[in-house]
Amino acid sequence: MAINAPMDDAAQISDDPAGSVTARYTARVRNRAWLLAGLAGLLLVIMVLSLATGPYPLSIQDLLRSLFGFSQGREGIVVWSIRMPRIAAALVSGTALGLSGLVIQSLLKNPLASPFTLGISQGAAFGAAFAIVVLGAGGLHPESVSGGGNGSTAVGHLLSVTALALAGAMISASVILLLSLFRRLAPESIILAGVALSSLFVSGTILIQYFASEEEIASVVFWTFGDVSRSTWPEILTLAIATAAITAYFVLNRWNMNAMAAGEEVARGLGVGVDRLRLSGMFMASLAAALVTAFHGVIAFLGLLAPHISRRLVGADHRLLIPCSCLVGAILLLAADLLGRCMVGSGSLPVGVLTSFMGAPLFLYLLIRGQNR
Amino acid sequence: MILSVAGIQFRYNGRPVLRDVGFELDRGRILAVLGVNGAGKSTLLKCINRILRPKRGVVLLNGRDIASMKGREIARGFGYVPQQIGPEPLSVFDAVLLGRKPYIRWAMSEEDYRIVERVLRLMHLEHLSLRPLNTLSGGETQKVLLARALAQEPDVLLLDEPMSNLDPRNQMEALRLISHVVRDQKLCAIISIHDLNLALRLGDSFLLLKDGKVHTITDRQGLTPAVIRDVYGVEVTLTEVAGYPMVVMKDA
Repeated sequence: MAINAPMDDAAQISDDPAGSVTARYTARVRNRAWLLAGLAGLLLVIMVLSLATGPYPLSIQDLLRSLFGFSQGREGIVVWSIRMPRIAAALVSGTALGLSGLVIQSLLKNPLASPFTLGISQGAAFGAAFAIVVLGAGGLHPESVSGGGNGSTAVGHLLSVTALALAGAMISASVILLLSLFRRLAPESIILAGVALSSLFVSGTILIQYFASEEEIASVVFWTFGDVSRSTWPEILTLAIATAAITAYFVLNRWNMNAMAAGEEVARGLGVGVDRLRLSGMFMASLAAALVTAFHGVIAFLGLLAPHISRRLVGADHRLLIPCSCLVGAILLLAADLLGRCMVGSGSLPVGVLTSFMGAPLFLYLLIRGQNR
Repeated sequence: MILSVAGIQFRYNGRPVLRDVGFELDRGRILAVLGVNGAGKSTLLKCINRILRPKRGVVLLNGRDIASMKGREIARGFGYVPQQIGPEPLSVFDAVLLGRKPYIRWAMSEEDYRIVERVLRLMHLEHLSLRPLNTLSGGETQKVLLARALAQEPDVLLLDEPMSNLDPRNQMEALRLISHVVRDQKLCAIISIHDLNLALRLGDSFLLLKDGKVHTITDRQGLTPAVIRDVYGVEVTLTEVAGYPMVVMKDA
C-alpha cells in the first residue's frame, strides 16, 4: 500500500526535502548512541580509578603490570584478589539492578517501582537468610562461617541460597503483579503494598537472627545493607552469566517493551503477547534482583535511580534505554563504592548506605512531582 | 468482501456484553457503530482483532479465520486506535514507528522508515516528530495514534471514538483524512462514534447496538427517527442543512 497525500495537501506540505524527518530522527538516535559510548568510557575510567584507589598505594605502572599478569608479588594480589572482585561485583550488580528496575517500571507502567521499593530485594534477602540459618546452607563467604566453603559443598550452598532468594523475590513480585493486574491499583498504592511486603520480609529476616549462631548472624546482617566488598569469583561469574542472558532477553524484546509503553491494548493490537511478556519479564527482572541480593545484600534504590537518569539521557525508546540503564546502574554502583572507600579508609562502608542517600531524595522528588510525570 | 464478522459473544465478569453480533464489510467502506454508552461499541471493536477474546464468534479477514492467525499476522490486518491513552512517553516518530512492529524481525528497514515518513507527512506531523507524545495536545495525539494505525498498513481500521477529544477544526481534518485514506487505499474502517451528526458525515453504513445485540444494520436511508428513538430513547428529526444530513434532537 502506498500512502499518498491527498491532492489538495500535496501542495502545502512543508518544504522539508523528502526523507528529512527520518534523517532528523536517525541523527538523534545516532547522537544518543554516542552518548552511550561516552557512558561506557566513563565506566571504564571509574573502573581504573577504583583499581588504583585503596589503602595499599599502587602506581600506574604497578597497576598495568599486575593487570596484565606481569606482577606475581603483593601488587598482583591486591589487584586481582582484593580490588578486582569488588569492582567486578559492583559492575555486574549495578548492571543487573539498573536493568531490573527499568524493566519493572516499564512493565508495570509505574515510575516509582523498583526491586527495592516493591519489596523484591527484601524478599530475596529473607530467602537467603532462611537458607543459611534454617536450612543450614552456611554463609556464602567461607571466612565468615567456620568450616564452610570447599568444593562441592560451596556449590551446594550457592545453589540453595540463590534458590531461596529467588523464591522470596518471586513472592513479592507475584503479589505486586496480582495487585496491579486484578485490582488495578494506582502506582502509589502499589508502592504501599511494596512497603508492606518489605517490612514483612525485613522483620522475618530479623526474627531469623534469633535462631542463628554468631557466625550466621554476621552473614545475615550483611544483607541489610548491600555490600560488594566480599565477593568471590564463582558468585561474580554466576551473576555475570545470568545478567548477560537476562539482558539479551530484553534486548530481543525491545520493540515489545516500546509497545507496552504505548499502552496494553495498543500492544495487543500490534501483536504483542502482553500477558506472556509481563509474566516472563517480571520473572527475569526478579531473578536479576534476587541474584544480586543473594550475593551482595539489599542495595537500596539503585534500580530506581538508574532508569530515571537513563530516561533523562536517552528518552523512552527501549533500544537505547536498556543499554543505558545497565551502564548507568554500573556507573552509579561503582562510583558509590569508590566514594565509600574514600570516605572510610578500611573499605568497610557498605555501598547500600550510599545508594540510599542518593535514592531516597529522588524517590521523594518523584512523589512530590506526582501527576506531572 | 473483506471482513466478515459472525456470532460474536462476549461476557465481562459473567455479564453478557455482546450477544450474537455480526456484519459484513466491503473495501472502501466505513461502518459507524452506534449505541448508547455501555452498549458494547468499544468491546465489539476489540473483539474483532482479538485484543479481547470473544467467547464465541468468527472473524474472517479476506476469507481467513483470524483465530488461526498469529498475533503479528492479525496486527498486519487490523490497525487499532484506542479511545484514550495514558501519558505515552515515546516520541512521535517512535510511536508511529511502532506501527511497523508486526513486520519486523530484528530491526527496522529502509522501507519501514519510508512508510513512517510518508504517514507523518500525510498527517502533517513532520514538525512534531521528535516531540514526546505526552507533551502534545489531544488533537495532535489523536492524529499520531491514527498515523500509527496507518503505518501498520492494515486492511481494516478499528477506530474507537476517534473524534471525541477534538475541536471542530480537528474533527473536520480527521473526518477528511479517514474518508480519504479509506477510499484511496481501499481499506475498510469500523468506527465507534456517539456524535450522530459526525457519524452521518463519515459512515457509509451504520450498525446500531442495543443491549449487546444488533438492533439495525442499515445505510443512510434506514437511519430513521424511529430507529434512533428506539436505540437512544430520544426524539429526533432528520433534516438537511446546506446539503449535509443533520440530526436535531427535540425536547422530550
